Amino acid sequence: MKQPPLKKWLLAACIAGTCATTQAANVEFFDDIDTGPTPLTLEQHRYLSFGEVMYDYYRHATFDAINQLLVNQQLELFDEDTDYAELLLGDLYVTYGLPDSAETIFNRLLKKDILSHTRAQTWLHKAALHYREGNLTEAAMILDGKKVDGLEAADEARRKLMLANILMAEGDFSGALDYLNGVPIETDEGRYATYNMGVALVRGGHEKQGLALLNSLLNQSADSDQALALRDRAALAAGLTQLRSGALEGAQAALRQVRSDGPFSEDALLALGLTNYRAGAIKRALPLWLEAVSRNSSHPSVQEALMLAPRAYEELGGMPQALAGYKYAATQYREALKDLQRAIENIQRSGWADNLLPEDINDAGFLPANSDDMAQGGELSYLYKLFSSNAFAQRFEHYRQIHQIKLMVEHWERSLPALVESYQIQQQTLARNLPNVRQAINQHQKEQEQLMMASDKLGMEIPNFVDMSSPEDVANAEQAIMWQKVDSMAKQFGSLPGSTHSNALRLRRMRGLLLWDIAHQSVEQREKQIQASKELEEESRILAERVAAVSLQIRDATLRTRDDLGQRLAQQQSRINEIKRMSEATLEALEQSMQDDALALLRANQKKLADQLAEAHLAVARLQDTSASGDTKQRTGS
Amino acid sequence: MLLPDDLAHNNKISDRKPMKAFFSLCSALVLALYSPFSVASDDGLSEQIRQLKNQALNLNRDLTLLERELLYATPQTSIFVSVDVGTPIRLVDINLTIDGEHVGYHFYTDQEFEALTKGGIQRLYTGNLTSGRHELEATITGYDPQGKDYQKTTSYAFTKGAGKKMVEMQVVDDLNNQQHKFEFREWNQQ
Repeated sequence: MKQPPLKKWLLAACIAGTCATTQAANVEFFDDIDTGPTPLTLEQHRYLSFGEVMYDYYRHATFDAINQLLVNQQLELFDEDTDYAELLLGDLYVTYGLPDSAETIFNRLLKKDILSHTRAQTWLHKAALHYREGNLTEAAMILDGKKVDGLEAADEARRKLMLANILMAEGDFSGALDYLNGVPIETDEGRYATYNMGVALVRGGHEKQGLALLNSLLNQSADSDQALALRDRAALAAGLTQLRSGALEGAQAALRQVRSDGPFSEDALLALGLTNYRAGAIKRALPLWLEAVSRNSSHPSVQEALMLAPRAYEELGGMPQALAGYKYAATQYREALKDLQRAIENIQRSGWADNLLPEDINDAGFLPANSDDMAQGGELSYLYKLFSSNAFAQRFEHYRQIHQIKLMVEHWERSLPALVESYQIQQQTLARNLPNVRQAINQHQKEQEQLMMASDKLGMEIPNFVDMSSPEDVANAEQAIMWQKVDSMAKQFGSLPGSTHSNALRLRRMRGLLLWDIAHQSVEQREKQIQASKELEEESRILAERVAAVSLQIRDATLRTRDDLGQRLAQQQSRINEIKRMSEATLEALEQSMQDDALALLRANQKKLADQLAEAHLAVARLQDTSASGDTKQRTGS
Repeated sequence: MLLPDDLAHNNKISDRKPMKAFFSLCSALVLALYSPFSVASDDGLSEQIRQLKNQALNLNRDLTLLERELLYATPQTSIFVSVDVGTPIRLVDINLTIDGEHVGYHFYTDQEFEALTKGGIQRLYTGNLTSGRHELEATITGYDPQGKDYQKTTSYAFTKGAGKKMVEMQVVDDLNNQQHKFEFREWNQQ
């Protein structure tokens, strides 16, 4: 079942909350957001966590979405003040089939002073819950009152749709029509509601209005398989209604709109043949029924046509063709009975319900997953009626959800020993390493503090101007070595061999040239020094963070050595076993119940087919007897 | 051998046959399809199912918390992915490396991508990273609105401190190139 899209305001409320807390007065656009790290506020944490929930919600992973919300509740990230999370949890509980939990949430929300939007939305959810549970009076009282004033367009359509369905169920067709007019027919919900309303009106004796609604669907464009199939259904229903009331032309016009390769084509062929038959045009009915006969003989309409085609031949005087037709029908009925027997045996096998499950654990489809295999074996034709019934769909949905629980429990059953072992390994490793790590981190912390002080000192001591009184401070490495040599030679000049006047002049020139070189690049050198100092400070800061991180880890590890996590993990084993046992028992009960329904349906089909087979045999016998008495009359000349 | 009475009876059946077919067709169609709402059955099995669901949700919540407590005893690093709401560009898959080591890959089904475009946020990676500098590299494959595929890689450096680190990688539309680009947001939790 497709989930309705969550209202955008729900997300907007969350995001608005985030912005409101962080920037009360300023409107913040993405371009203005500083992309550097910022402290995680509560609202930002909620933004990320609720986003994760939304991801699960929109990918229809209901169980995961509920789990996320419950985990975050436990972590006190979401509480009773986060209305948007509460409302979503309530909605998810409804989808997951936990109406009591949902109602508790809705009632709690309604007692609070919440935004009028949220209040109306909550009432709508509550009404939907009553509606789902079959409490139509309670649902109608909410939906028809002022409590749901101010809903957005999509919610308003949902409200009208529910009211229309409720009034339809009560037989108030004009009231239902008023509400239905407010539901856009282009949507899936609108189309289904229009169809249901059309059929209900016809059943209630308001044929003209019912036909108008069914015909309105025929003019709608359909772009999905689901929409096309519904259009076929509407055409078929309109055709059958008019056939019943003798409006044969209208019936034919409607039935011709059913696609010849659609899921209702066999029914349409049978019905079109019937309209011609009723009009006395047996010759026109015959090819339609012959076409139906060429289709899959497990289809109920094809099985009907198997007898109608030879009947038409018979009425047209084609006795040999009629005889062959009845014999062919008998053969097909026998084959169909064999197929039915095989289907019954297949259903009685254990694991039948498991084979119906979709591959994707979150996929809740209209038909069971292996419907293609079933269609090939003819089983689907017989079980289609069952699969499209609400009672079976609900039971199958429960089966799918409990199977999902069983898989989850089996996952934890496999994981738990690994988690317990991980915990034990952690404890052993910590016991072995913690003393050394504690000792080492103290030493590292001292070294890091010294380094930080030294780098701070260095940074402060570097002047932001160039002073040539100490040339070595602004020289590069090569110049500094050269300056050291030249300066030391100048200082020791006189005591060195070759301390002549000319050498003294040469040394002075060289010193001057070196000083000029140093001065020439001194500004650039100073900038590099300042930059290097800043980098050193940054490295020192990161080192401080790393030391703090390791210290924190040591604290956490120390706590870990004293906690009771291992015991708490081990305690979960009994819960896992209990839920696994319960889920297996529930699955068995659900499978049994689905099997019983399927078998009852197949046995009814079996009985019907047996009757049809008997009819075919009788028809063959009758024709053969007629033919034999004709021959005798011819021979005796009577 | 058939008796004359049987034949007569059979003839009557045959005469009525077309209308019988019509009524069975009508009832099958209308009854199978007319179901505007469902009425819950409230038997013992339903109650058992409800109890089981509640217990399973509680167990899953508790075990999730215990697992987190065990695996992420130290503050973890999480990388999240989100996309522009209502983007016309289709994200196909994403590949994530941290410090050159492959840590995550996800292929997006239609439903998952739709969930992202409606405001969902996906947690692509959670793990224990050492403190200090790290380099994240993300490669995405996508289809532009014309259905042409392309690949883009981006890198982002962050520093992990003592607390939890959360990085949101937002895949936003680069409307000039009709492709995606990344924007990063980063949070520290003490």
